[in-house]
Amino acid sequence: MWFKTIFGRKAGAAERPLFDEAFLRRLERLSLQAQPALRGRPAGGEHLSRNQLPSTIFSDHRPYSYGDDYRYVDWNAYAHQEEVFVKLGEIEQSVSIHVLLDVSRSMAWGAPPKLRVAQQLAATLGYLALAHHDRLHVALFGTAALSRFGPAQGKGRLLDLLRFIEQARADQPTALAQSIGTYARRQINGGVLVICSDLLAPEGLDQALQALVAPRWQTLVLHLLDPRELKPDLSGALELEDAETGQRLALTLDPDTLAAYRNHVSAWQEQLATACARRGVTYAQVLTDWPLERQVVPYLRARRILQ
Amino acid sequence: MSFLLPLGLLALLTLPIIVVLHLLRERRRRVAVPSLMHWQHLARRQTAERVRRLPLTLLLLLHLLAATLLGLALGRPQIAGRAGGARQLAVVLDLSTSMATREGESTRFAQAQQRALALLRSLGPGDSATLLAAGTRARVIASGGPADLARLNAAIDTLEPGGTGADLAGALTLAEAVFAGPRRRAIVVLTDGGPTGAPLPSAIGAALDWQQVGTPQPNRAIVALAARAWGANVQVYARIANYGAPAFDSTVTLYGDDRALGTRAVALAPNGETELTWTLPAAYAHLRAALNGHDSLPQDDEAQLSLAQARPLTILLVSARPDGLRRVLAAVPDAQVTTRDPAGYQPAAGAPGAALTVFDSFLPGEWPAGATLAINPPAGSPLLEVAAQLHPSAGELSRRSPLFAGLGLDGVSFGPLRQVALPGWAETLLAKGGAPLIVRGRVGTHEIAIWSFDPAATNLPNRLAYPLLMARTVRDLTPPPLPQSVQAGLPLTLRPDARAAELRIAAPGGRQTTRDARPQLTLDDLTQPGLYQIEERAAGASLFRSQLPVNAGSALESDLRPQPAPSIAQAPNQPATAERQLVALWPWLALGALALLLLEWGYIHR
Repeated sequence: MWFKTIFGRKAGAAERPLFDEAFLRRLERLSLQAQPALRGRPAGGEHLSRNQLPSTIFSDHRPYSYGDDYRYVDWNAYAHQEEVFVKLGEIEQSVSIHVLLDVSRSMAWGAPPKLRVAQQLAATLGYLALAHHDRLHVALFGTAALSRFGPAQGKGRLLDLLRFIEQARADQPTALAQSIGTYARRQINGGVLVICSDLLAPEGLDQALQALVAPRWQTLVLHLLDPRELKPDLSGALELEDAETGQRLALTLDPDTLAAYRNHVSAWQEQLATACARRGVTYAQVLTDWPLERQVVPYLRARRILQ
Repeated sequence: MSFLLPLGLLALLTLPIIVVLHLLRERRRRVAVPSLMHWQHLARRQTAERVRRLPLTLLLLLHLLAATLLGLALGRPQIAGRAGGARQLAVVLDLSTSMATREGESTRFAQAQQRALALLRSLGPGDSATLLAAGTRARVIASGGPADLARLNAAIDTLEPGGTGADLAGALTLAEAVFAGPRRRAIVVLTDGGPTGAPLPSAIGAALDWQQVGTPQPNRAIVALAARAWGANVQVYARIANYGAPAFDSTVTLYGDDRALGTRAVALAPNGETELTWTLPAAYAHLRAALNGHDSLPQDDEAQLSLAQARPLTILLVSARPDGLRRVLAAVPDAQVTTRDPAGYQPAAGAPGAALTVFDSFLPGEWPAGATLAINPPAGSPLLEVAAQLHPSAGELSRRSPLFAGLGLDGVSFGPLRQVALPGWAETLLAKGGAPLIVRGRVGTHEIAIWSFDPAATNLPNRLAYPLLMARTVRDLTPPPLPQSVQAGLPLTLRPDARAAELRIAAPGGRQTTRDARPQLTLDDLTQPGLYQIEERAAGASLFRSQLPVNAGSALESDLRPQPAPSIAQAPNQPATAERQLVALWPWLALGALALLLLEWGYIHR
């Protein structure tokens, strides 16, 4: 309609940068905390590896075996023990960071939309990965993995990363377990996998986590929640419409009903946390009204997701 | 409100249907949620509860209101609108003496004037007002609309209180009479007391606002002052009343011709009266009693009497043999008799002449200016048709006037009579055997009595009845003296001298009025207490001048305690049902319903 053209919200008017440059510089001091058990690449990177390799930085010995580099033989030990030992030391490795961004329709709900917060989180984590020479993979998923970014290394890919993330639209149905399972099977090396989702899927999170076994995968679940999901400001006779499926439900909300709803949501959150804990997955709830730098980042540091 | 099509109200049965429909299917506000997975478990329980409760939503209220308006519109309602926004206002002002009571810095009447002025100022366009004064006689003072406000205000300013009693009943009747047309009618009565005189109507066809003016106050008054001759003395009687709960001790001073004759102490019991008497020598023409009242109504603290109200009587006897008649006429009190021979009689030209002219066996060419007694009128006069003498037949005397009450005329032989043809202006007072003996009548201002017999030819001069008959005849023909005093506001009927052409009346305040003299004159404007000067004049000369005391004290006006407002049923404030305009409401109701439906449409598609 013509009046919508005049009075309607201009497209892109609310499109603001995911974060500014100063925030990125401050963010550079942080890094994702990767487990040493992950299989990484020792050629570069800043994550400690569980494996010890011959190194000038001494921490242990092992008997010399054929093919070891003479430079790492501990001649002093040989003088005392009359047996050749090779000096072993801790090495640092780069790991693969996989960020899975939920673009189901429910992610468009909320103020600000949950997708917007998820985009900021994905961009933040992606920037950390690029800045610390990790291999970054970003994938959008709905019913299946839709499009991917990466692998990419180095901050030179930052603009590509941001463009990819910003073009994400929450217009897909949800198939959480299927999408994550498919993605995990295709990534044989594993790595750090970050799921940014509202987890509103009928099959549940537990099924999705079955494909993410440790130590191949170090999984982080960032559960995006709008405050109004926890405490709805609704009352009276309503017709609730599912943002995901369009399904409608007539309901009369009174204090008892809202209390029952809150109990149900609380139980669901407990269920998600329990499922994650059982499978060694880090679970963190992120409310969409939290400021990213002042609240989300400190929260992730407190949860030892960032260091 | 009435309904032109009451069956249309059956449409209101849709109201419960709408409620049932809303109960069956409640319209809900649609709200998007990210997922229903947390709500689905709660839905069944709430659905069961929903059916039992009436959903008081805005839509339901809008539906019910729209259906109500449409149902009422189908009934074609009508209301009786005002026949016009204009109103007719009648303001009745009490003019009785008690309205002169002081109330602080003002008086009750001044307060009533202020209220009346305020009412007049409230007149709107198209309104009209009529001012009525309720004195001893109700009258319309002025009327007009908002444009005539200055004239109405001036009319109010000319009024002053005075007089015993207020003719409020007459004022209400006049007010109803001046109302005309289908406009609203309202009567405002500004009074300090209850109704006096005629009883008030039980119902009135206008909105009546009976406004009481003033506060209850004690009052003392001289309510009666009278005097009578007692030999060579005069006995004076006064009654003093106390209208109030507290007892009151005071003094009463009596003045004779403005000289203090004595002061008496009076002790007035609560709501009591006391009487005083004086015996005075008959030397005073004017008496005045003054009470030291110390109250808010000084007008009734004084009363006056005039003891010299006798009217001098000049009689001209025109007779060739005047001796007998002169003797009997001279016996009339205060009479001065002069005689003249018929041959020398000339009507007084430019002079008032005598108050009474007695023609004996003679008639002039025209009636004289004053009263006339024609005795034994001769034939051949242009004034009377007189035939030859006849002898009265035997028979009873026929008396048709109180003039002859107590007179012994039965043994009188009236001798030969003049056969007077009864003129149209006269009536027979005394007759014998059908022959008129005494005839009385009035021609213009001329009071005329005719004796058709010659007293000298009868045995009447030998009877005691003769001077009595003559005195009564003279008194009947000449004006009576003024009363010693009158009550303020009460009408006084005067019979001025027949010779008088005009009356000059000077009120105590100095205001003078002049009236044309008529045989009978009623003075109803003697409302102010004090001495009135009354002068009868003719041909530029004064015929008679006298003082008339007017007293304000009375049990009716001196009691300043409040009177309850009368109970008068008020007719509906509309003149007649047929004259009212019926306003159809259905278009407005239908428009209201349409507006509600548009509002609902906007609400749904918001």
